Parts: sequence; structure tokens; C-alpha cells
Amino acid sequence: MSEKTPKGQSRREFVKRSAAVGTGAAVGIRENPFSESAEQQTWDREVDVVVVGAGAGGFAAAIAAADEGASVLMVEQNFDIGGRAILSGAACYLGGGTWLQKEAGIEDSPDAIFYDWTLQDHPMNRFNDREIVRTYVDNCVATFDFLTENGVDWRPIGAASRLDSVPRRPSPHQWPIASEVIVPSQRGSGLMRPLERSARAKGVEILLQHRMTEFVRESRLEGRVLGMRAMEVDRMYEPTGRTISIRARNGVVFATGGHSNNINFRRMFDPRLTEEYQVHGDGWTPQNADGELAAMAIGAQLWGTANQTNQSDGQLSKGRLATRSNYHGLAFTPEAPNFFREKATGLRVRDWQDLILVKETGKRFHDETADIRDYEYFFAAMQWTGDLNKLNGGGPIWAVFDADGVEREGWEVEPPYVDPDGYFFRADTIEQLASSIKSKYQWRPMPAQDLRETVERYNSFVDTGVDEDFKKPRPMYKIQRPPFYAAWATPCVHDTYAGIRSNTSAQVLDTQGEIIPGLYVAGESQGGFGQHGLGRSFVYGRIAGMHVAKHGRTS
Amino acid sequence: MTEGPASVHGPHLEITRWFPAEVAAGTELTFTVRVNCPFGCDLRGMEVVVEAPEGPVVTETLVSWDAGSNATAEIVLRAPSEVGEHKWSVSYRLQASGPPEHTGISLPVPFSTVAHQTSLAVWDLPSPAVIGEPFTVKIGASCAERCDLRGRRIEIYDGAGERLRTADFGEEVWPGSEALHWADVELAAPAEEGAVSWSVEFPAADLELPHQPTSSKFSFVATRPPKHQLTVEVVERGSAVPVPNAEVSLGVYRASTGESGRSTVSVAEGTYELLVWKSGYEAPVRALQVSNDLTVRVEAAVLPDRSSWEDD
Repeated sequence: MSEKTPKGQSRREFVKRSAAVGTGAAVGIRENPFSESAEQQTWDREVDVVVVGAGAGGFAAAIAAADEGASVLMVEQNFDIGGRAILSGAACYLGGGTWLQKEAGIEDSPDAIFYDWTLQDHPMNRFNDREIVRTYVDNCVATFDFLTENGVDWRPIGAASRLDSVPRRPSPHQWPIASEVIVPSQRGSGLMRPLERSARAKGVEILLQHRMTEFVRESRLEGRVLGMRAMEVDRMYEPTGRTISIRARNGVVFATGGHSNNINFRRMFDPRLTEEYQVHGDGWTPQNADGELAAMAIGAQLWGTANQTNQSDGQLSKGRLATRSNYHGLAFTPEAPNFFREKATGLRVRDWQDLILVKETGKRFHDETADIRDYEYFFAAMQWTGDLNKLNGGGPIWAVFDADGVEREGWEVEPPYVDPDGYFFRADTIEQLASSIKSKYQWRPMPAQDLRETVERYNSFVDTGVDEDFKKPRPMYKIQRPPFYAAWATPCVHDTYAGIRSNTSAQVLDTQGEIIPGLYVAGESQGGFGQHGLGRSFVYGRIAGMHVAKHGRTS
Repeated sequence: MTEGPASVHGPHLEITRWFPAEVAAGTELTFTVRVNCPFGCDLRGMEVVVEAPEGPVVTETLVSWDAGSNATAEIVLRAPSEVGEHKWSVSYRLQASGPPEHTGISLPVPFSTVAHQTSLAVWDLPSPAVIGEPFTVKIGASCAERCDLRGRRIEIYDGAGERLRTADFGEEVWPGSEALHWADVELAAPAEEGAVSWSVEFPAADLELPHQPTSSKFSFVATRPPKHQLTVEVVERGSAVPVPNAEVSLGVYRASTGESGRSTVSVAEGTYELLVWKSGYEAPVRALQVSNDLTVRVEAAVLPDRSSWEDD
């Protein structure tokens, strides 16, 4: 690969600009550096279709485009494929009368899905763009067949999810090659590894460790998208300084995983979500709004923004303890290939009676037994702590427990189960525990006296059986037996539910509602559909891939 | 010695890893002194002096020269063992370094020493305790600087501030702790029923270095002697499968169910709310009059497993 920089820009300037985008720090909408020189742009590679992001939406697009005879190059910034999908439980909202449903005697139809997914009585449904939903439901069966044809081995269908009137959420068998499974307890590899095999067999090229930085359009807000640029990154996503420009004769599909890990971007929707709220899985898939920002820089519109604040289904998680990436439903093992980024498995809480949860002030704020996705709990966690120097965000939340709590839970409180580098602390006394907490998110020391008073008061509630402050049902256990522990328990951010506007062919629309020719979107970067999970990603990835291959040059 | 363009050079002096403005009395201070000549002169072999008002604390030689910066080896000093304000300085004095000569320079380093922070833990408290009956509790103290507190005394006071007894720490540090010295302390519950809040004080007196005294409250409930055995059997509603590890409580009394789903609690005569708690289950609260031995069966409904319904 050659080392090139855009015309009129020194390599140093370009790397500097790219690096600013690199780590999810201050990311804003950038001007397209190619806007005045697109015609003179030289390319390192030229293919029919470029797909950015090697997750669910990306692979569906790449395979569908290859099936139509297009040459396809995928660009992925991780060192392996799979995106968030390969970490997942792999349940896909794909029904409407699939063969798997028929085998199980389940009657379903696109109309039935549409009815379920447009009901007003759940926040997942009420904010959706019904045109986007309608096309989704009309393509579920074909997409399910497409995944089957490309090697996905489905398990018998399970029970109906709470959002569906009939069972229509299949998941695959675990991928049989252990070394290619990222999270053994999850089945996402059963989706993504077969698709990777199929894509490669169909001639799809995959360029790993390259981060997309720009879409190249004929002019900044007009004309076709001609291609894209990317920078090579190392295993910690840091730029190596090398760049590549790729011409996409038919167009570019981006499925870059959403914006959850871009603090500035996510705060457009919820200003409370400041830096202390970590994102699950960002050690595998950064989810830092690369696609959204690049698309907005050439005029794309955001869509379905109410979905991002629907306060439902995995936007936030109460999570595991003592590790940064602390979504409740998933733990990375030390054998995981990304464990060097994750650093700890975390501690799963069996019984929230075994601990108290305190803010950075050392004070309790809620009944600890709240459900793992109780938004009243999250509101309390994000409540202003009273510091005029930090008005947004509620600061870190710490689980405080004692040796008896460790024993009841059966935890091992050593690495690799806990991360002592800012996410787990141990001390002889409660006061020393407060003083020991050193975290970049704990912006001021926790007052030792306040934490001790909190514990003393809570212990008195255990004596009387009544939590006079937060109505925790029958506080069970005192925190008294040394040593004492503080473990990271700050809610973590998960799903992206708002993104770039598209039509039902997955073509990106600008702020005037006009198509940006040659640019397509799928997956969590697509706006208008607040569905948790993989179904919408596969459906619109496939639609995007077919459309860009068939009509990309002429649309 | 590298000869610079001027005959007299004015070096710059800095301290790396200097101790904070406030340190615990008598603790170690670790730092390095750097002397940088603007012309990059090699000053190895020259000396820097750390001084207190009463005289030099230590004299160290510059031993390294890297990219024009001269440095001492790591200097380890002990802070004064008294609490107070201190005005030390670090100096590079005019000395035979030349030609060219290097002018002397001095950097003031004011700091204060404070008493060591101590704190307490009280554990293995029985709750409830039986009125008038003796019980044993563990009490420990720890110094933030990990000082040895063996043999040191603690004092236990009741809610009215009357000293109940004293105890001395033993030889061992509590397992799993870094420096928690502790004692088993025998106490007697008060003669009347009710919530009790007592305190323990650690005067931290007669230690080699100054320590701040500390105190801590602890609470428990005193009850009449339990006379009746209440057996609670917890089963899943519908299947009647025993539910192990469920917490059972009646007022201040509590127990956990075993593998058989049964637990036995000794309680005093009276009226209680029977509450059963286990994550993933829901059981009704019921009122219970206990006037003799009793067996109660509780049916707990299994709640939907919400931990996995959307883990994709």
C-alpha cells in the first residue's frame, strides 16, 4: 500500500487530523478535504463496492453485493471481523413465516411483525419510521433464507420475546472452531464466522486494521460519493501514519456500528452521558460514530433521534462490577483475543443485597436491588452530585462490599477477574477504602468520613430491617468484615438507536431528503428503527448490498 | 565538562517526583534532583544539597547526564517525625565546575507533616444479641501508613458515653488485610430490648510517630431470649421444588435455607412479618404470630429471567 496524502495537505497535517478522530476524543463534523479536488483524486484501489465495517450489516451487504457480481472490499478497523455481532447472543428478530418457524408450526406473516413493531405501547416501537419498519418486515423471510444459504446453522426456535406475538427470534448454533469464538458463552460467532467464510469464498476482500476517515464526494454537498479514505491503525486503534484511498465505482456501504462510544455525539441525544459512562464491547468494535460523522460531513441527515432516548432495551445497563466494559450480559474471558484491551472479566452480581452502591461522594442514591435495566435507577445514578465543576453526568458509581459479601457471591477478587487499574480497590477499613479510590473519572477524592457514615447508617438499617433512605427491601447484610472493597459499577452504554437517515433502499438521504448517490447505510448507524439486535442490521445490510451492486452506478 | 559559549552559565534546577505539600510525619520521601545547564554542560560529579533551616539534610552527587540534563540518583529521605510546617530547600551551589563556571541556584520546598490517619473496623457483631447476655465482637484499627499497632488499646463506649471496657490488640494482622491490628472484645448486651448504638475509640496514644485518634460507631439490636423454633420451608410455586439459599427474616431474626429449602430460626414470642428473599423469586410477605414452635411453608414465584432476554 502506498503512503499518500490528499492533495494540498502535508502528510503530517493529515495524520494529525486523522488522529484527532482516532480515539473518540473531541470528534466533530469535519469538512471533506477532497471537496475541491475530488476530480483530481488518485486512488490506491478501485472496486465496485466498498463496505465499511465487518459486522452484521457489513457482511450482509458485502455478500449480497458479491452475489450480484460486484467486486467488494470490506474495511474494518479491528484485527478481526465480526463487529458487535460476534460478541452477541446472536438472537435475530427475523420472522414473518421463515422455514424455521414453519418447522415449529408457528404461523407468522410480515403483517403480523409490522403490527407488533408499530404498537404504541412500548418505547421500542413508538418512535420508529414505519416506512423503514415496513420494508424490514417485508424482507425478513428473504434475509433469513439468505443467512441460511450462506452457512448459518440455526437452532430450534425458542420462545417469543416480549415484543413479539409469536416466536420469531432465532439464533444459531455456536461456531464449532473454538479458536474463532470470541466469547464462548455467546453464539455470535455462529452468525459471523459462516458469513465470513461465505464472503471470502465469493471473492470479498477484507482489509483489517483500517479506519475509515472520509467519504470522497464529487463536491462537498453535491454529486456522487466516489470512494473513501482510511488510515491504517495498530492493535490499539492508533494510526500508523499510512493511509489508503479506495475508489468505489458503484458506491460505499457503511455499517460502522453506531455512535455509542463517541461521547460528544451521544450527548447530542442525552447530555448526561458524559465520559464516565463506558461502552460495552468497544474493546472489539469501537462504535465511535465514524460513519455518521463522515456522512454528515457530506450532508447526510440524522433520523429517528427520539429512539436514542427511548429509555429501553439495553441503552444502559447496570452491569458487572470491577471492569470498565461492564455490560450485564457478557464477560470476556482471559482467552479472548481482545482481552489485552478489556483487562478483566468483571464480577457478576448474584444478589444485590451483598453490596451497597455509592456515588463519588460516598453516598447511596438508590435501592441497590433495582433491575439491571431500571431507568429510574439510571436517572438516580446520573443525578447531579452537587459539584459546580461537574454539572452533567452523575459521576462514577462504586459498589462497596466486605469480605462476607465476597464469600457469599463466590467472587475471586484478583486479576483477571477485577481490574485494579482504576476499577477495583481494597482496603483495611472503610475510610481507607474511600481514600484508595483513584480513577480518572473520580475527579475529586471520595470523602472518607461520608463513606463511613453511609456504611454505618446502612448497617443500622440491616439491624432494623428497614431502609429509611431508599426503601431497599429488607436490607440483609452489614458491611463490616474486613477487608473492604470498592468496584466500578457505573452504568454502561450499549445500543445505538438513532443514526443516519436512509430511504427503504438503504440509500443515505441528505438534509433536504435527497439521495446522496453512491452512499448506503446499515446496522446501528442507520436511523429510524429502534430495534435491539441483529435483525434490522441483516435486513438492511442485504438491501444495501443488492441495491448498490444493481443500481449504485446509476442511482 | 562541556564548554559553552559563555564563561559563566546559569543552570536550572528542578525536582522530579517531589513529595506533596502535605505528608505523613516520619514517612519516606523519594525524589530526584535535576540540574540543567542551558548549554547542556555535563555536571556529573557536582553536588546538590537538601537543607533544612537547622542544617543540611543530605548532600547528593549528580550521577547522570542525559540529553543535557544532569540528575542525582533517587534520593530517599524520611520526613520529620513531628507535625508541623517545614521550609526546606534544594541547592546547587557555586562549585568548581569550570570553566565555564555555573552559578549557584536554590529552590525552596515548603511542606507540612501531619499525623497519621487511623481508622477502625468492627465486625462479627451478633444482631440480634440477647439482652443481658455476653457476646464477642472483633475490633481492629489500621494506620494509613501501615504502622505497627500491636498491643495498642481501644476503648468501647455505650450510647451515653460511658466507657464499657478496654481491649488491647494482639500480635497478628487480620488475614487479608494489610495492617489491620485487631482484638476479640467481650461485651454484654444491655438489659433492655431495642436498637443499640455504641462506639469504639482508638486514642492512638504512645506511638512512635504522631497519629490521629479515631472513633467509629457500631450498632446492633438487643432482644428477649428466643424461645421458639420457627422452621420455614421455601418451595417454588407450582413445582414445589425446594429453594435453597433463600434469605428468611422475621423482624430482626434471619436465616438462609439449605439445599432442602428449609431454614430454622430461633425467635422470641411475638408477631412478625415473615419475609423471604432470593434474587429471581418473589414471595408474599405474611404476618406470623409465634407463641410456640412452628413450621411454615412459603411458595415463591419464579420471576422471568431478565438477565438474558436481550443479551445480543
